[in-house]
Amino acid sequence: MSNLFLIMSLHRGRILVSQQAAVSTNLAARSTWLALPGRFAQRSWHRRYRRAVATAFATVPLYRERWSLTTMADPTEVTEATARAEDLVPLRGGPATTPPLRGLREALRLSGPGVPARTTLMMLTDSLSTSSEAGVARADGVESPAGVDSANSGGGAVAGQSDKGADGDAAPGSGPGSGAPGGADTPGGNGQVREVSVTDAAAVLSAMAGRRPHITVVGTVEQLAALGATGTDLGSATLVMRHDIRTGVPELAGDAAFAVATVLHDELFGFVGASGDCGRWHLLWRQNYVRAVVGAAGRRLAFTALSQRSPRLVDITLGSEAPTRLDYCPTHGTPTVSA
Amino acid sequence: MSIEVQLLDPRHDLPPDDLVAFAAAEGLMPYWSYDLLGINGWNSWNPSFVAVVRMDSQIAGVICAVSLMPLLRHRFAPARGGPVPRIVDVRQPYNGYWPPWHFSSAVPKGDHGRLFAHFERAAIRRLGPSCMGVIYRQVMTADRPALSRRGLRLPRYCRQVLATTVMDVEWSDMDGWLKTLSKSRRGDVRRQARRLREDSDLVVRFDFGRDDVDTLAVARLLIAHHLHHNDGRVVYRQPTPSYLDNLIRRPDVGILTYHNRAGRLLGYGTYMRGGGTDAIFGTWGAVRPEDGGRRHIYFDMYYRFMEQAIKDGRTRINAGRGMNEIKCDLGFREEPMYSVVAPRWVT
Repeated sequence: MSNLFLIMSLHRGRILVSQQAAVSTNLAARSTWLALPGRFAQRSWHRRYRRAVATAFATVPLYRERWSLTTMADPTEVTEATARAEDLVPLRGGPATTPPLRGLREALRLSGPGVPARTTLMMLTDSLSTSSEAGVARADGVESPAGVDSANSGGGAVAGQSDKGADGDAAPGSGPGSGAPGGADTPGGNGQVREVSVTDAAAVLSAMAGRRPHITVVGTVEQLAALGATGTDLGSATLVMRHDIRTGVPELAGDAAFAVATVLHDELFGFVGASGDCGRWHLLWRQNYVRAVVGAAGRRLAFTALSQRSPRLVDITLGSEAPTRLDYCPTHGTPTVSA
Repeated sequence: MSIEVQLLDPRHDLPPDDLVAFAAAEGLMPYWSYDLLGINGWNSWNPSFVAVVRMDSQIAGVICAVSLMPLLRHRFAPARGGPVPRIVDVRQPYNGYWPPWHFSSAVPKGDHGRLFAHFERAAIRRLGPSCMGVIYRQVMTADRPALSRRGLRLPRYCRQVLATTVMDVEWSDMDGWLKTLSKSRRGDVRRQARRLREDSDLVVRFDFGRDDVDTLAVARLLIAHHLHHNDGRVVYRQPTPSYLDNLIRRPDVGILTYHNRAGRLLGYGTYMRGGGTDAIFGTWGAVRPEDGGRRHIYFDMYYRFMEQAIKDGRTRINAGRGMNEIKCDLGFREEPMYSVVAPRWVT
C-alpha cells in the first residue's frame, strides 16, 4: 500500500506526506521513505492554498461571514480566530482545537540529523504536575511511565505496538485510563509523544537513563533550563528548543548552547517550522502555507494550515511581533521566514 | 393593467430606488432591510430573495421568500443557483411575527390573489425545472381566500400552524395593562420586576440604535438558547455577529441587555418599532440560572417593553410564536396562522 502510494506521488512529481498511510508502517521504513528529496513546487503549493480558501468559504462560518462582507485582502487576526474558535469548525463538525503536537515530528525531521528517528518525544509544559496518569517512575526502574516503552518491548519501535493503542503501556501500578493529558494524538505516533511537566520529565529521565528507548525533550528555553536545574543527568537525552513564532524569529547564530535544534511553535497552528543547518528558519511547507500581506498594519505574513480540516485556519496573521518576510532558501529551495 | 414581478437576490443585486422609497413610506419592519437579507443569505444554506410586484410600474407589494434547498451536503448555499431541487418557501429570516409580504394600501384586497399568482409563476420560472412548488408559512386569516383558491383550480392544501400572539393596546399607562392580567400574574410580574431592579449586581440598559453591544456574546447566547431547545444540534451558527451588528444599530430596533458587574452578558431582548403603529417584542435569550444567570428575565423584559410601547404610543404589539400560554397569561391573544402548500402544478 505504501509502495503504491509512493509510486503515484513520484509520478506526480511531488512527495505527499500522508499520516494516514504511514500509520500502518513501522517507524524505520517511514523515516527512510521521507528521507528521499521531496521537491517543493510553488505552483502546487499555491494551488493547495487556493483550494483551502475555496473550501473554507464554502464550509466554515467565520470565513463565510468575513469574506462575504469584505474581500480576502484582509486576513484574520489571531486574536479574533482564538475568540471565535467554534466558528472555525466546518459545518460538518469536528474538533475546535488544534492537536497541541501537530507537526512536531515533521519539524524535528526538518531540523536535521540531530534528532534520531527512533525516539520517544516529551514536550514540556508549564503545569506543575501532569498527575499520576503520566506515570512517575520509581527509582528502581521497575515501573515504567505510561506511554514510554520499556526495554522488553523492542526499544524505540513504539509505532509497532498496536495493542497499546493511544493509552500507552498499562504499566503495573499506574491507574486505569492511563493516557497522559493531551499528548496522544500526533501524526503517526501511537501514543509515544507526551506532554509532561518539568518534574515528571526529570523523573522519567532519571529512571530511563542509559536505557532504550531514546528520549527527546522539547521545551522552551526556560523549561529546559528548569529541567537542567533539577540536576537530572541529561546526557543520553536529546534536547530541542521550542520557540514561539509570535514573539518573532531571532537570527540563528550557530548551534544553540545545549539544544541540537530549535523548532517554531504557535499556539494555534502547532509546530510550523524549524531551524535548518543553513542558518535559516524553514517552514513546514507541506502542512502550512504562508503569504505576505501588505495592509494598514504594515507587512504581515498570513498562515494557512493545509493539512487540517477542523479547525480550518486560513490566512491568519500572528500578531505584530511575528516574522514578516517570506523567502526561498538558496540552499534548499523551500520557504523560509525571517523577521 | 400590467403586472410585473422583479426578483432580487440581496446578495448580488442592488435594491431599486423605488423599493427603498416604498420601504420607507410604508414603514416596513427591520427584517425587510436589504442589507440584513443579504448578510443572512450569505451565511445560510437557504438564500432569500425579494419579489417586487409592480402594477403599471408602481410598486404594489413586496414578498420575501427563501429558496429552500434540501441539506444534502454540509456547505453554504452556492453563490448563484445550484443544481438541487428547491422549494419556494415564502418566509422571512427571523420574522415569526407577521406574514412576509406587504401590499400597498392602494391595492384593493380582491387583487391580492392575482398578485400572488404572478409572483408564484415568476418565482417558479426563476428557480427552474427543479422547483417543486410554493409554501406559504405564515398566512393570516385575512389572506387565506387569496391564497387557497377555489373554482377551476384545484384547492390547495391549507393547514393551521402555531398561532402568533398579538395585543391591542387600549390603555395609556402600565396600570391599564396590569388590570387585564389575572391577580396572581399581576402580583408575580410586579414582584419579579421589583426583584430584578433591586439586584445590585445587575446592569440593565435599554436603548435604540446602540453600538456598544458585544454582538459576539449575544450571538453565543442565542446559539446556546437554540442548542438547549433543539437537543444540542445546531447546524448553522446563526445569526452571525455581523447580522446582529447591522440589526441593532438601526434606530427602530432597541435592545435591552442585562450584564453583571463583571461585564458578562446574562440576557437580552429586542424591541422593534414595526410598520405604522406596531411594535414587536422580538428575540430574546438569557443565561440559565444554573449557569449563573438570573431568574425571571423574561417577565422583566416584557415589563420594560410594555412601558416602552406605551411611551411610543403603539397600538398593536406582536410577541411572536412560541410559549403562547405564558404570553396569553400576560395579556396577549392568539391570532391563528396557516400554512398553504401549492405544488407546482397548482400554481
